Amino acid sequence: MGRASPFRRRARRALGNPVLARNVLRATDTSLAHRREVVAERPDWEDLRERAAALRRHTLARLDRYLREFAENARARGVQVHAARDARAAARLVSELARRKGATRILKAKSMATEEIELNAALARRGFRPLETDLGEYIVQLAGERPSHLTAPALHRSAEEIRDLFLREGVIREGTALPRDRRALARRLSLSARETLRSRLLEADLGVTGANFLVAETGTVVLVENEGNIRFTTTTPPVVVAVAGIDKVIPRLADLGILLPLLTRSATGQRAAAGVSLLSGGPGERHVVLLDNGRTRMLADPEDREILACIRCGACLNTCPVYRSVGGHAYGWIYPGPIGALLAPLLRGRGEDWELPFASTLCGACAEICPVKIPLHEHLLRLRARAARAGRRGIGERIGFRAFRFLAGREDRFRLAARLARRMEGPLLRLGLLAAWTAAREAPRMARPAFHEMRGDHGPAAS
Amino acid sequence: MDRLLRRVRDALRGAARPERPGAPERPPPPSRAALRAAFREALERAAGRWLTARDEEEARRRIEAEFPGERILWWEEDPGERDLREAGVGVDRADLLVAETGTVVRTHATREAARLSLLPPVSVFLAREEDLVPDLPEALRRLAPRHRAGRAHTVLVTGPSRTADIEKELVIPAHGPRELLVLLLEAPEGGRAPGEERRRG
Repeated sequence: MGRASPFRRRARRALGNPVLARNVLRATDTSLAHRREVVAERPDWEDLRERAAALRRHTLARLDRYLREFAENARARGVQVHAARDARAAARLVSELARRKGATRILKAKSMATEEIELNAALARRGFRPLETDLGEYIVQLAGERPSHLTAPALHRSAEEIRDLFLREGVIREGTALPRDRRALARRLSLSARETLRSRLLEADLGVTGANFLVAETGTVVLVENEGNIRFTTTTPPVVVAVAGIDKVIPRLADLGILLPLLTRSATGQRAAAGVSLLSGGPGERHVVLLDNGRTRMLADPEDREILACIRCGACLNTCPVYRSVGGHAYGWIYPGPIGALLAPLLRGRGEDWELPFASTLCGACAEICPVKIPLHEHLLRLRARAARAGRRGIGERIGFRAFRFLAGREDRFRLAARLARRMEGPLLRLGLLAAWTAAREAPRMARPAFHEMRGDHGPAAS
Repeated sequence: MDRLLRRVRDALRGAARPERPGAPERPPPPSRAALRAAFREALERAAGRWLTARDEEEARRRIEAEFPGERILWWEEDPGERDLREAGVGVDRADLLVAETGTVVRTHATREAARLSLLPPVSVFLAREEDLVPDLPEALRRLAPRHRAGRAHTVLVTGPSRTADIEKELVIPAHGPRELLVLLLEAPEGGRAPGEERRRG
């Protein structure tokens, strides 16, 4: 792992930005506090998690059946169902549709699947500029950035930064009196989006959404929101297309009774989202693009399959000490945090993505908070092993572990090494030779006397 | 689509097939009065407002008194897009009220009908006592037949539209209604609400 590996470079940059650090910490703390409050209200929370976990695993193991059922039922309701093998095929399907419809005005709902396929870039290449209608996505779009969180795309931005952005982009007119107080400013900026975007929400040719769930028994696209922008996106334009990973399928409408409360309480700490749309067919022309893009590959491995159970609530990001320190952009792809550190290598699989499973303390907070009980930290460890086996780790790490195995393999070698280390740690630290480790951490000092010295003659296997 | 299904089938060849978990145990249904109280509390917690009336006549008077001078659109007018843009208040029927979360459930037949509770700055839902259900699982149970039968467009609305995308500061409204009211037509002791037959869709 070279010194300038992409994750480390980005993480270092993030760590040197105090505004970012403050924004990320404050936002994730707020989400966690709200979540704690509403989770405590449900004595059946653990039971819900168990059921959701079992339901997701059941569904994924029979995805062939449920996916076919979804497609049949959606078609029976007049929906045109498309399959896309990879990101490019999915982006092509949507931009082709936009071209066919002569869609000059495109509304977009917040959707991680469309981020995954880089739809906006694909549309831009054909001369379309879709409007991101979710406030967070709108901010990120104006700033020319990508979302840094699954459910709060602009969480890395402060109100002051957004104010400057809105002034620069003409969302707010120059010279407008704006409150200085941070919270009042956040309020004022949020309200301005309603005024600015209203006229554009009323006239559109094409709507593009993701899907929180796809219901097999009814062919339903389920969309969860708070702002009302998704309801505009699905009712203003005559043509609407939903892009969704094949992992979004659930068997029955009744399953939402388990999954919706888990999703909203985990994501934003809400008992219920302000708006949930259940769209079984029209009115108007409806399309669904079912996205594979590496998911069937994950499905084929029983352990990777478990990761597809994720419902994208973002709680593991909020609770992850690494995410909370470096924010979402450091991960280098649109899925950040513990779940992103699994999805990036498995779905995208670039060399740099395989570094992400190592960007974890393996503390297990992610697994503890996950509403569908994915043992995320165990999967992170598993992917580390996979990366090492595939020779993706640097030569230094390989030599280091080999040396450790050599030294720790026999007692006399180990004692010698420990004595040497005790002698050397002072000079090493003084000369700053361990700075790569100690710059951001305290170096643990060797024990004096060592445990095996204290143990003395009491014999080896003291249990 | 066939190729996708084949890839999925191949991926799952020989996979263990865990069973579907059972449905959670359902608590006994609470009394109507308890449901009403629970709904009201949850609605107000979600920044919604609660009104009651004895019958539809009184309901109309109450809504007109609440919003003097506003253009009020009623669901049975089958409003067009123009009306929707000009109205200050949209009054729709509720199909179900979910007591646990203060959620209004409404299934629409047309695009315009779906926008009646979206475009006007104030959204009012008229409901009857028998529309009250304890929780989301029960609401979904009642919704399912309609979605199984064919095309259906349902929204579950909990309070006015909101956002917390800037610094997690909760701001009402976002793009949807800034105010949401639920007006319950109270049934006389032990019976249905008087007045016309309930209208749907």
